[in-house]
Amino acid sequence: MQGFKYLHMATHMCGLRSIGMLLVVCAMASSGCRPEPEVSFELQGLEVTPGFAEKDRLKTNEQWVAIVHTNLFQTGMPANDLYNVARVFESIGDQSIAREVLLSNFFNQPDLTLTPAEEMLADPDAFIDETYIRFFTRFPTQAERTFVRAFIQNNPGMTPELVYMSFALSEEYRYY
Amino acid sequence: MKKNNHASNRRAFIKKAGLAAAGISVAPYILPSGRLFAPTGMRSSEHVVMVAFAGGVRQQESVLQRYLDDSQGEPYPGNIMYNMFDGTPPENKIVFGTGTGGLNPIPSILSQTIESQGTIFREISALSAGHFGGLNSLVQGSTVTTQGLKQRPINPTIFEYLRRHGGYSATDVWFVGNGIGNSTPLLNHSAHADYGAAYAGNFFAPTVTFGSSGNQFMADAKIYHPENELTPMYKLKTFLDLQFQSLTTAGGGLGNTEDEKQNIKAFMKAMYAKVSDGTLDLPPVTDNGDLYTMGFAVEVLKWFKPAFMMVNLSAVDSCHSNFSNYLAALHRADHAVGHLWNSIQTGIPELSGQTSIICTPECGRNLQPNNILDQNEWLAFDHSDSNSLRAWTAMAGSGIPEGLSVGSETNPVGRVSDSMMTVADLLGVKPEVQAAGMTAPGTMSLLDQI
Repeated sequence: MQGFKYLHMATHMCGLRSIGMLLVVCAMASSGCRPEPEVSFELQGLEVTPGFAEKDRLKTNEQWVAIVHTNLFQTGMPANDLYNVARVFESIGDQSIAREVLLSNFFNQPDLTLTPAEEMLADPDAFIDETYIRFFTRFPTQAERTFVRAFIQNNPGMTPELVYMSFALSEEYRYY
Repeated sequence: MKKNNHASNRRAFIKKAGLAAAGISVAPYILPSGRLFAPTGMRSSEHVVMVAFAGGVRQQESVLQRYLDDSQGEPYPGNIMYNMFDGTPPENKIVFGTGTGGLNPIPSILSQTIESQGTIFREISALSAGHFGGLNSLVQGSTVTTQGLKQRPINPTIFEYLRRHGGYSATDVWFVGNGIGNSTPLLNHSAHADYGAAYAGNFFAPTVTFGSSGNQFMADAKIYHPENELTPMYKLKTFLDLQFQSLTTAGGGLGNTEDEKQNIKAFMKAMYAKVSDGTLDLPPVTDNGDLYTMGFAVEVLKWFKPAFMMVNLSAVDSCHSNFSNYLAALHRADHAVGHLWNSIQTGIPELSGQTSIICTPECGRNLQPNNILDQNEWLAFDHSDSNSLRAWTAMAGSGIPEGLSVGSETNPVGRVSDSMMTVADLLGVKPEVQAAGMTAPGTMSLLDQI
């Protein structure tokens, strides 16, 4: 129908010389740009993400800071800030302390929005999947999902902030 | 057949028993402190502070007290380091003090000089004419020709010897750096396979950590409840780490325990507050980076009361291009040492009377100047010739003889690497450091050379 409407308007406006070209456009609009039908061949769809076995390269301090900032704030850190943070990291011998202190600063920022604890507890599996994807760029194994779910449910003080901190401070997060 | 079996079993039993006995006699004992063997040396000091009086110090303006007499061809000798050395200050051409033109010398902090309280090695040999090589000789007791910038020390550092053989904890050994340039942050531990990060000293470059950048990104840290919040957070982290380490070998930290980490974080929080409030224990004059560095070093001593702390100064390196600024920096480095020693004796009761101090430049400076003139038309000095291999050591306090002077300009005694062995001696791990065999040939405790 859309194609015929365009054809009618064009006949009045541009004359017969454009009809041929418009017919081609109409044909493309009506059939050529249709999305491919999804064919599953009766197999269940599965999103493929890298596993932790492939993470063997240590992130630099700049990479770690840039990525954790993006993961938490959903926005990149300005290059100048990144440079300065890296300098501060260099000035602290125990890098694990530097990471913890920086993270706790991030969690103190008013513009950081975290998943509410109620939402995490209402659907822990979804929260766990989202957290694994966000920090580890992979889905949890079933064993991991089971453990983390039980851990969250059995530790009332465990907030999304503390879960995020555990992930951001983990060894796996230091590698890519 | 049966007899043979018995014989075979008996042989096997004897063999196993022998191996077991040998194993028991050879296997190390894990002591409560975590170290493998008890240190065999005798500890003669509870705390040692080593000042890397670094940046390249000429003998002429420091221990020889010649001021302008041996550098600019002007006949004005004098002592501009009167917290450390006995001797009268120069009377003319004063440029090293405060105020316009540096006309006002900084008053002495100590009523008795380090020299009069302890022992001076007036002429020792540096192992390197460069900063990084020199600093490496101070922390490793050696210089390795393949050691380069941006590379961890190849041989173990004094921090690692102390922790591995002396059983000192991570917060018992500290390195306070003057900054993060020149690979200074790499000096708190080596890359040696038998030592390394697990035995490292804790490190801060406080002018960066607690400077404007540190304040911007670190000062607003949350303090989490140790049991309700941190404990479950670490538990979950441990689970995640175990999952990951099942397939990879992730690197470890400095070996700070969780308690030590919390203590360091509390220290950082307190320092940001002190910087903000202006309540840091700074020297009376604080107009260069070395003086701020020393102020933070005193704060580290107050908070952690470590067995060993090394603090690195470097402002005298301005001598490459400005001799007047070099003199001012030398005067301030002496002021910084005066503040440090005074704070130890009067401001930290746990350290007073139980601490020794060792001050050693990592290298000297050239005999002949370069062509760069400063505001007073004085020539500057680099460090590359044989005069750059001349240095001194001043030490005092617990375990150090008083009022001794060893060696002279014509009779050098000792070397820069001896300072590290002296620390090992004072803190009871000298035999282990010697047995490790990784110090420069001839390196020995200065106490053994008196």
